[in-house]
Amino acid sequence: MKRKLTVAIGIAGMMVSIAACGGNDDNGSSHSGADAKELTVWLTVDAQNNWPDLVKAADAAVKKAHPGIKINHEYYGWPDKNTKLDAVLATDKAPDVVEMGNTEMLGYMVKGAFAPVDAAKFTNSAAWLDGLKASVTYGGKTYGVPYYAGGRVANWRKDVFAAAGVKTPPKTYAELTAALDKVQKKEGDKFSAWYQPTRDWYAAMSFVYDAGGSIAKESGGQWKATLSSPESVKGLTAFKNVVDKYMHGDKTKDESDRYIVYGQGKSGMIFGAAWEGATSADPKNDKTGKLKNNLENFVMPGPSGKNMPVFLGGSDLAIPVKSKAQAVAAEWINAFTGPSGQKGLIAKGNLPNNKTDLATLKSDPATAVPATAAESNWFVPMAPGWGQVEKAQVLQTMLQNIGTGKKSVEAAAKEADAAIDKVINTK
Amino acid sequence: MSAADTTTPAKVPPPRQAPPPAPVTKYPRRARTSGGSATPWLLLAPCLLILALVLGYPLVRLVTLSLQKFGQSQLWGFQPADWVGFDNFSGVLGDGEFWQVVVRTIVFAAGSVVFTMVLGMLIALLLQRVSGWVKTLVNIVLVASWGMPIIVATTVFKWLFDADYGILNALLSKLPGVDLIGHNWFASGPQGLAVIMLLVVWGAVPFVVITLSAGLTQVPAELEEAARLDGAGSWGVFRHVTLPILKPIIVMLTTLSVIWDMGVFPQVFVMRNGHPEQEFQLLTTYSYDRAFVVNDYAQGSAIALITVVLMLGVVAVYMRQMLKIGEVE
Repeated sequence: MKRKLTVAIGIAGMMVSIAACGGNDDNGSSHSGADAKELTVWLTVDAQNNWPDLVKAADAAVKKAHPGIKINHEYYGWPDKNTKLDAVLATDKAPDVVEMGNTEMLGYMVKGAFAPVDAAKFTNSAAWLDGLKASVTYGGKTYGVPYYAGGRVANWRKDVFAAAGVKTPPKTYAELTAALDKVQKKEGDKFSAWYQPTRDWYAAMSFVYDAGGSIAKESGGQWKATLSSPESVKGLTAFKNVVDKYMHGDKTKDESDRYIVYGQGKSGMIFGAAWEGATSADPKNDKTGKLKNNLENFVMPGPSGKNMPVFLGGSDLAIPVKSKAQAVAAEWINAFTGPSGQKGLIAKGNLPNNKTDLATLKSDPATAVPATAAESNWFVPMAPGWGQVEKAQVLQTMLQNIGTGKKSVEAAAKEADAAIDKVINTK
Repeated sequence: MSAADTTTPAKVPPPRQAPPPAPVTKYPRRARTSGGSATPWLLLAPCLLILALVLGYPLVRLVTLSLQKFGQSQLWGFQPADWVGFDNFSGVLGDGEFWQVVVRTIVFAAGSVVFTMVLGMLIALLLQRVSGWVKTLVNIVLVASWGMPIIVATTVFKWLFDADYGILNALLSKLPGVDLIGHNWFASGPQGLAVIMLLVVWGAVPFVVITLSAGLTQVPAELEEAARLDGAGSWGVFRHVTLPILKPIIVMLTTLSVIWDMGVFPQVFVMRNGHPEQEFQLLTTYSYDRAFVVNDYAQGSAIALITVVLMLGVVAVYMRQMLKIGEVE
């Protein structure tokens, strides 16, 4: 009897082992028979959360031209989107349209994962923003279509700063830090005068470029990381001072939930994408009800005395080379990124993908701040291995080590340089 | 449990037919049907086939991958996968970071197993001595926590230990002289891994308790009584009567726990938002990172294979124990 029982336990245990070993493969998307009467569009959740009506409009336009076509939408989050895309590109069920961050395009273009497109077919192509145009061009060919750009601005709580005696948005960095000091003193150390997530490399690198530093430089076709150069270290140190003094939240977080944290009402300002303030004030996220009428964007001043150079982020839309409906996909992209689409995107606080619309933004006080802020900008190194640097989160690791005080700025920067040099030149 | 009932009646056919000790046979061996040596294999065939498909094929792919150069271009079929011999392995084994990960994994697994076994044993012994309804209640709780999906449990723990909103920091700060509000458990690797270890142990204890409870019912009361009459205290009874009888189960549970705790993945992955920092990397997450984050599928496979080799020793102990129990004296 006892032996029976033990054997049973042993076998049961083994079964559980086997079951446990095989339980963690996540399937990519599964579609039933992809005929040309079907279009699959992968966008990030931004579109789903912030401008679903634009997606519907583009769908309607394509359906009008192709009656009976079925359009599938899948939405994915930024952090894990490429892992999923890589997996699905290995199959024959590739999506027909994918949204790519403008920093992510290069690695895929280099390897030939995207189909070249004819730029002339797209409405705004003659006036595409330079930064975005560069991100979809490789070897003289165009492999994608700029979708929108994102400026970065400072956004503060007027009520919080007014309570500490500051009434007008700071114009210089010295004014800004003086105001932050007042707020921090008044609110105590359970409050973040400036909620600046440690891992937010877009903000940190703005400090680096402001100080005259850079992430990496090219000479003779070879890229070399320059985060440990004296200028870059100066910028990183300025960033560390901000985190040390004004940031009292979780120092292992990145910027992905900043708008939620800001909405909880325990922070005085943020420096992030132009839409974040508005999203925080959404009743869903505004936990204290005080954000709604008190938020204001202003152009971020830099420690150097100039405006802070901001990361000109943005998204492109590309057509995987394995797509079976490339022509229709191009039509959908054009419908989505055309003039009416751009209008909708601008209304949500994004920057348009073209200079014509950008010029009108600067003259309108409601949109002048992000448009002005975007004039001084920086972009990631256009190196073949840059995608790997982002995926391996080299910069985030460095920043977390700096922000939590685990390593000195110099040591963390040196380590990051070594990690970047390892992969930045490999295709 | 029927599995057990089908394994033991192996006594029904005469135990293993050793060929009669005849002098060397002159004619070549022919397949004999009398002994039915093919029958067990026939009966096993469907199961073996499924195993070969489900486990064998991926294993073969894993080995081939680890001997090739295989990145995104090869995955999408734009470039052929070249054979590079053992380059991936030498690359992994020559990497200092990899050895850090190995040591961290072993320490983490050892800690988890020791805590799981000790705690499980204590609770199992406790359950023998409590009244019926308490026993039922504890069992319900155990099964409930065992039945909770890992991802859910991990998310709950993540919130419990959250720096800003975690209930744990709030409760601990109620103690005099403790201020942990805003303390971040995951800012340092060892602390964060301790939290994850707690979660792993919490999830593993129920199985150990239930199994050991079942085992404890098999300890004959008269033996214990005899030991007591001979003057053994409760520790003596446990040490000289209970433990020897439970030994096979304990060996098996320990080896199983080692196998499971070396393979911890979702707990770390979810707890660190899908991107474990360097000091949180265990062999499983490290292999995943190599393969799917840095897109070096070949090196990821090599790491997975090295992990398998590391585990083989443990698996061997487990199998030996299984066979020993299964042997018919």
